[in-house]
Amino acid sequence: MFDNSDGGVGIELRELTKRYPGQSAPAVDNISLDVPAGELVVFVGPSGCGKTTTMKMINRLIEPTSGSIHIGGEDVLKMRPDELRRHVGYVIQQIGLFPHLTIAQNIGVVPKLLGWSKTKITDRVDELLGLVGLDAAQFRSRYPRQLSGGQQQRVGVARALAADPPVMLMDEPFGATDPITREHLQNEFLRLQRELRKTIIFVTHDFEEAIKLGDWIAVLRDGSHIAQYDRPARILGAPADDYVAGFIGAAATLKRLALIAVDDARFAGDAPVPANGLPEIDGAATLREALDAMVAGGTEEVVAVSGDMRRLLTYHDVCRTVQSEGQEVEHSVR
Amino acid sequence: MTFTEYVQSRSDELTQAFGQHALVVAASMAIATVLGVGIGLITWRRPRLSGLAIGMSSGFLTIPSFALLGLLIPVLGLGWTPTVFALTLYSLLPIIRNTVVGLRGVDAAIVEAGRGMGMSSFRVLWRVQLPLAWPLILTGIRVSTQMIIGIAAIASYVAGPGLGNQILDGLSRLGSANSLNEALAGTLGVVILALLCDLFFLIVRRLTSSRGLRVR
Repeated sequence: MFDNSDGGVGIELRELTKRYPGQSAPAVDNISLDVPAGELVVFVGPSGCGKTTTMKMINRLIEPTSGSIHIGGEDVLKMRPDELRRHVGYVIQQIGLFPHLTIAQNIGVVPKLLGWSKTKITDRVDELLGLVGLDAAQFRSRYPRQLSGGQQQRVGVARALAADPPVMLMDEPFGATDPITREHLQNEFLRLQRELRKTIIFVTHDFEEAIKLGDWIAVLRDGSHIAQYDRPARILGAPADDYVAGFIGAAATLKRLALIAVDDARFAGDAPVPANGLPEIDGAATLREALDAMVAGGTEEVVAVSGDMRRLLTYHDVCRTVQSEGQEVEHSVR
Repeated sequence: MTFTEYVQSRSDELTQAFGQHALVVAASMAIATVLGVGIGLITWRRPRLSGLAIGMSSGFLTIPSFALLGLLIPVLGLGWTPTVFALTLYSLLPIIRNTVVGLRGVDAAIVEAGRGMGMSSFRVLWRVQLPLAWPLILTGIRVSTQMIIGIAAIASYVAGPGLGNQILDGLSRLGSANSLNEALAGTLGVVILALLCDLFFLIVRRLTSSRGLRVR
């Protein structure tokens, strides 16, 4: 359906509007936005701002009043809705697994609709269960009610990925899980997305989640108006207005630290690493975690370990890193 | 003659009455199931229409069975026809109501997930909503069956088939030879039929509802 050969498809929204009869203000008012191929864009905004409505217009669960939607250059509004939806992955907060079908049957719904052979579906189901970290032999014949919430949501993601759609729509997929499970699911999902590089629109009202997962963030206000659409670091470093700043909340700098890997920090350089006594931190960890380790250890230095390399990361390195990133942000915003 | 001796001496007659009783109930239930589930499927999305259907079918239930059967004589005559007609009317309410309630009770998120994956609305109804509502619909059918097994006994008043003939005849000549035995045999037959039907539905439920709905 979508030409996926050059490694992904982008989504273009143009002057997209949804007006419900009998309501004075449109639910979605004239939104135009490009989602680059293979990247994850988070729509973040308060409840009722129209972010979910905007997303549901893309797979036409809600029909737009006016405007256009193109996926990979193709006009979505000219397609048959059912056919379109078979090629757009869809994950919702309530998961919506079919309780009367086994996990394998649940994941196989779209491939079956597309007329895949039985053996192809079985192989794909096992592959997907592995991909989302569930043991196929153990889970394929179980029923949804026999699974925990976190496991069900993994199956929900696997089901959306079943026919390998180039585009995924995700509506607060991890919103109903407890904080620990959510963190797990987010991390696994990030790992998966780095591998799969789907074009994803992800809706949430949780700004922390947006920063963590988004390649881009669109902060939306009422009527799905875009308050700011930019890279997470830029939104944190240079919020467009008070509304966005309010959404970021306090401790914006700490949140920015969470976006920078220890390996990418500006190391002062040649300081010798003391033999012992300092806390160690993995190079793949974030500067926020490094700072946490410093505070916890009552020290201004930690040892950054990346492979065989051991470097001394100081409190001043952390400050210098975030300040220089801030300058870059301001520079590029200007 | 003791009760056992009576049953043995009239076993042919009783077996035939039992069979006819079962048959008239089965025929009425078959029609009522098709009608009731059909009406439920058509009306469940429209509260006003389903309200009307449920209201009317519960209206039927308020008509005393004796009166309904009698009133049907001028229209449908005697025998099987008025019996099946009346029994069908009586069994509609639980079936329609449970179909409507069952379909409405399916989690909206499940329906949305189905639509979002590109299932047509008919496919969602047939493959998702109906299977999920099925245990409740089946309960409605079972309740109706139990109810009309009893009502069917009154059908002998319009010369209908079944064990009602034994009960009515026995009671009308109470005091004469074997009258009590006859009425008791008819009653016992009805009770046995009811128990067998219940067992039948237990098995049908087991066979036709997904294990996924029963686990945990």
